[in-house]
Amino acid sequence: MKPSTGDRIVSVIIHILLIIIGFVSIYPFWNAAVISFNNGIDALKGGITFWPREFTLDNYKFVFKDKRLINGFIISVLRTGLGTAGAILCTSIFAYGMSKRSSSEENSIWEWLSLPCISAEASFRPIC
Amino acid sequence: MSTQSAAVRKEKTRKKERYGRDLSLGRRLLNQWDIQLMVIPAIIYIFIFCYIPMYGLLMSFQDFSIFKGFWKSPWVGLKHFKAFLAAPDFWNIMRNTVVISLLRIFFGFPAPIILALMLNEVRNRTFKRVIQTVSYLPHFLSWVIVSSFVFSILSVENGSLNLLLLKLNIIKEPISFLDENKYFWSIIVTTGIWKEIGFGSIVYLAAIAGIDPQLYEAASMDGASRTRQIFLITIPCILPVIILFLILAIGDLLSAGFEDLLLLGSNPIQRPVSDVIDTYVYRHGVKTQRFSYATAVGMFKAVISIGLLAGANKLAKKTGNSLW
Repeated sequence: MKPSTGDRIVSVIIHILLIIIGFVSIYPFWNAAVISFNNGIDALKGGITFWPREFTLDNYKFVFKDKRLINGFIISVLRTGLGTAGAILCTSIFAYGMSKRSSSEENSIWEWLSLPCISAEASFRPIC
Repeated sequence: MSTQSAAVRKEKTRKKERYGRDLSLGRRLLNQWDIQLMVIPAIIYIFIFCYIPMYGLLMSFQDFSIFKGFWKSPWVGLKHFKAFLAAPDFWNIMRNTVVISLLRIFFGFPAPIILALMLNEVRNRTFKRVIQTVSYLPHFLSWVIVSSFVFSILSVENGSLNLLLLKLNIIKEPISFLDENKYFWSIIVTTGIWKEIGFGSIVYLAAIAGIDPQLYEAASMDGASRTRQIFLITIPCILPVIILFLILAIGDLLSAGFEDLLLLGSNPIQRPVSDVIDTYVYRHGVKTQRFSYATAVGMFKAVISIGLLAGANKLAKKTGNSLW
């Protein structure tokens, strides 16, 4: 079936909107990257949008001198890796166990027990 | 033939031995020990992180002091709750919390749904993938980085947005977005949408992918245009998912956001519009070490949140799409 004129117009509008969304999402990243490659004193003057005005790698040389950055990076990666692996292990075997047991009585006990977790993030913030 | 049915019968009696209704609950739990064992790590996790911290809620009925400890601090009843309700900032904070949350639900909640519907209409796979990937990116940034993006883009001197608006001749001179209170809510809502729109659309795209293609075929046979198919098939089919997330969003009505408001609203001039319950707890409770007060405010919020969640769920039950 051939698309009607109305459908074509809608499709064009959708494509334009998606391009705008894509641009808006990527631009701040691009802008930050460009500024990071620009000379620091020159960047303070502002007005850098799409391309660096005075290209330099000094900023990166300076940052990588700091050993704490590498340390922080390692901790971040470990935390994400171990945290994700542990969470997936726990939740998947929990879900498997819950799905295997045919009687609803045993399941509902654990379901009610795990209910506070839904709002846990909201309730106990002052403590952490 | 007969051996097979014997095997089936054996399996049935085995199942009955394990799960049979006539057995007592303890007996059944014991019979399923191997499967029960799988559930235990998660239960321990829940116990440690959801149940043990609850004892801390008792602090809100005490004049808690670190030096006296939990057992020796004096009990004061509802003093801290009363203090919060009588606080001069109370109504302002409640207004900010509710208004920001409602703006988030009104603008931020439909945004990922609309994005998912639009992505679904794209036939070119490469284009679709690029847009999807790009729109996920902001989700993976922390608010610290996002807020520095926002500050640099909105700054009066040479911020990208001001440069763009000046070039398009929409404004005559740069606007100081960050110093005027009237822009704060729009900034906070827009930034939230920008950060989460792509990631939020994943769920809806998955729901859309699960729709039976026969429905679309039948609809196009009957002469429904693609635009009409969106409203007649796609949206009704993903409605249960939408309602589920709406319930959770309503339950979070009093959590208007914490990190984003704390970082973007770091300017004290903006306190009248940026202070919500969570930031208030942080500044008046945790920072000044009034732990009891902070806990009381947090508990006040949690109790209302649970009420809202239950209320929204009850409403959703009428449409048959409730959470529990």
